[in-house]
Amino acid sequence: MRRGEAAVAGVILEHSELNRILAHVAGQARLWVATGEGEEAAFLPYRPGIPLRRGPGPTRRTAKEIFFPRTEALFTFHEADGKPRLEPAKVDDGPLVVFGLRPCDARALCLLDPVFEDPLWPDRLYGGRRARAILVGMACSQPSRACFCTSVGGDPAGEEGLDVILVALDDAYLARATTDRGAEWLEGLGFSPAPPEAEAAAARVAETARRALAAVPADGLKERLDGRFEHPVWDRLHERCLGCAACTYLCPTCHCFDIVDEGGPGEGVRLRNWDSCMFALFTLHASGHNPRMTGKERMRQRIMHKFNYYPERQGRPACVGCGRCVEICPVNLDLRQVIAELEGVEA
Amino acid sequence: MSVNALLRETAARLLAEGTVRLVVGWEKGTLPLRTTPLLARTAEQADRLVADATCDQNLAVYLTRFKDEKVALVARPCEARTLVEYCREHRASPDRVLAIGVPCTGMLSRRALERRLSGRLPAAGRLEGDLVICSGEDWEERLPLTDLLEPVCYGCRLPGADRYWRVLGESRPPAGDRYAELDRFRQMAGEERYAAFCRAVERCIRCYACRQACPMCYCPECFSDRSAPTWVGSSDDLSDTMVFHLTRTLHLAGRCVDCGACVRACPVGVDLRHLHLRLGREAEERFAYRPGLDAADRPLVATFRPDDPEEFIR
Amino acid sequence: MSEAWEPKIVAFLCHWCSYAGADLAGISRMQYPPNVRVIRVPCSGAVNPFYLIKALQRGADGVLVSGCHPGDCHYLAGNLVARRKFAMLKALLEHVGLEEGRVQFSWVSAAEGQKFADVIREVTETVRALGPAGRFRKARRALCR
Ligand code: SF4
Ligand code: SF4
Ligand code: SF4
Ligand code: SF4
Ligand code: FES
Repeated sequence: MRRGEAAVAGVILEHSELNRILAHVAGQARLWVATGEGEEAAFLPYRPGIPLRRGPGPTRRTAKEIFFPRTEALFTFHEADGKPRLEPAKVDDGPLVVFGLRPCDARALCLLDPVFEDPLWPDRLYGGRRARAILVGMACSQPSRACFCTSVGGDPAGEEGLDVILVALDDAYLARATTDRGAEWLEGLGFSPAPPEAEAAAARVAETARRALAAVPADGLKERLDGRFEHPVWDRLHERCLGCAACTYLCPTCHCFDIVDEGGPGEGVRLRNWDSCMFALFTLHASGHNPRMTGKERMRQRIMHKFNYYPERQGRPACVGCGRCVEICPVNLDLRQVIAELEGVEA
Repeated sequence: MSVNALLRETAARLLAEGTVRLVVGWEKGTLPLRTTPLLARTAEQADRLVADATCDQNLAVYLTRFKDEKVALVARPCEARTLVEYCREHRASPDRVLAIGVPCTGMLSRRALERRLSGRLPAAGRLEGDLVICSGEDWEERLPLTDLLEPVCYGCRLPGADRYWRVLGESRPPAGDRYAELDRFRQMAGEERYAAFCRAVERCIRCYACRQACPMCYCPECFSDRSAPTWVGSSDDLSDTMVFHLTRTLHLAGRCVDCGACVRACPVGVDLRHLHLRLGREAEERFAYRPGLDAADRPLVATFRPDDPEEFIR
Repeated sequence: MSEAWEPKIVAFLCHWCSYAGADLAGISRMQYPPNVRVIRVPCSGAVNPFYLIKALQRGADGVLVSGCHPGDCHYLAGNLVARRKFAMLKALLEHVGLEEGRVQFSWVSAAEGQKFADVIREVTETVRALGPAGRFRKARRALCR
């Protein structure tokens, strides 16, 4: 939903105002805010006095958890009068505001949307939360050392997926609505219009951030990977990989899940839990056969899904260059380096 | 000759002569002050080897993956203790794995550094003697390495020199009380200990990086991956996550070599080292058994002594 | 429910000794509290510490493992190896806050009907004094978060 013609210009939001505003917002909607620093940085439900995140780059844990939580009950079942009864999970489509996402996290949600909101099999739980969510982003003034959003189509001041974007200036934020919904929301809060200098300052902030970003050769990667399923490049790429799910669980675009039933006699619940293509268990058949036998096949799947299969369907890679996987891989198996190595694969 | 030069030369020779097919070591990583495992198969690749305080994965984890090849393992005391356990458990033997001992004076702790820098992430960094020098766009810090070591390094236990095929330099880890962390935790009352355990486990996202980074977690199928039937639920249920961590700790009773790889691997900062320390101390005090030091004993919980204490049994 | 709370205790009993000891207590008409749910196992050495953790997770207020006296194990040393595992298990669980007394161990032979009854009484009373177990317990999952 892009901003209409009559959209508002930017407004100025004083640092000191922020807490008052968030408290106000929390009174009207479920509010999640980016909080904590370093490995503790995550999105948590707002409570008065919660420290807002300042640090560079994105939070360690992603905003996808708000819409696609690690565990979600789909329905419960029990027996009543000798008959099985299902009780589906209530769709939670109340007002929801997420504050402080980086542009890459908002874009990542746009990449998840076609997966969960496929017209044939829409996911009502995901869709419900997305339906009325207002995403208030914070442009990156200081990318993290592992960020590479501009190499995969993003931007440190990118607006895709956001309803409102804030840019941190020296002593205030410049807030700009990027959708009608965002404009309405922002108007309701009542701020003074931003002077023209503020817009210029914001542009400078974005430009500085852009220059700080390293380039990764991801252009044309989809084509290079076409028909390269059996290429020898896969033989060595995975060797250092431990086969954990640190990279995929903290990736804002990874969305593999597993469905399990839990319960006891006469009742239970069907759950959807995160799962990871990097686990051997992910593809293990009941027969004991595993079509992705070794780390090689699993690593290939992760890379191919992000940079070939997903682009095949959606026209762009399933990576927003947030750099989380780069920063957290326990063995420093760096996705940027993997992409660079794949550059050598003949197209 | 510097340790790195010695190491490269030794590794290159082993590969060139065909004594081993693979050298498992570290090379410079892609992030400042980080290294990454290097699986070198040619003398040329071996020329990238490094061994310094930024090496923080336990390399022995790769030995169980290349179990048919003759391998040289670059080994600090952490890896050497793991090898002792591998020999005890028949995962490796000294004639298949040549341990090249590199000197260690303690690992740089990424977490300690991050704390010290109050969250600033260095864009560049290097070690210079005993100094950690790191910098960002408009700042530089020169910090003594000795203030930034991994907790596991204090009071590190050194396996004897006979554990190595060759030793390139002497390890001098910092002195300290290995159980200090454990004692701090134990000062709390039971209720507080439980609350602290809950708080730690609540953060866990079950990514299993701890398990995968642990050289002693080498089971082909972990109990937590058992799905027919399910042993441990895979949801975000707190008790299931507790069961995972408690059972993993138990499976490492008398086997954990206190390398800290699990703690360093965790992407969200779950630190349960004190659980392993608790059992490590129990093994030592109750059974006079020290994992990683003496391969002559049978595995702790695969054997017994007739006079093992049993004051807790009715 | 207004019924008074009664401790729920899971007892893993070795088939060759404690289980027979329980039998003897029964046929000798000895009184002991009905709070134990007995699970017969081939040997105390066959009790995976995981079972105890699971029992606590799934609602036991206390767990008992009982096997043959040292030297009497049908498999020679199952109980002696188990002794080490249980020492570790108890140390770990109490380290992270399990109340002392919730996991218990005993040696009871087939001839010790009286000892069996005593052990069950003592274990039950200890657990009763501790109250319902809350820690490590799995909560029933509700639908909406
Ligand atoms: S985080 Fe690293 S080690 Fe873990 S699965 Fe990803 S690439 Fe492999
Ligand atoms: S693959 Fe890595 S860099 Fe790309 S979106 Fe996922 S975590 Fe971020
Ligand atoms: S449990 Fe942790 S400290 Fe112990 S051996 Fe495994 S990785 Fe090392
Ligand atoms: S590495 Fe950390 S988050 Fe992952 S399973 Fe282990 S403790 Fe949990
Ligand atoms: S047979 Fe009874 S404890 Fe082993």
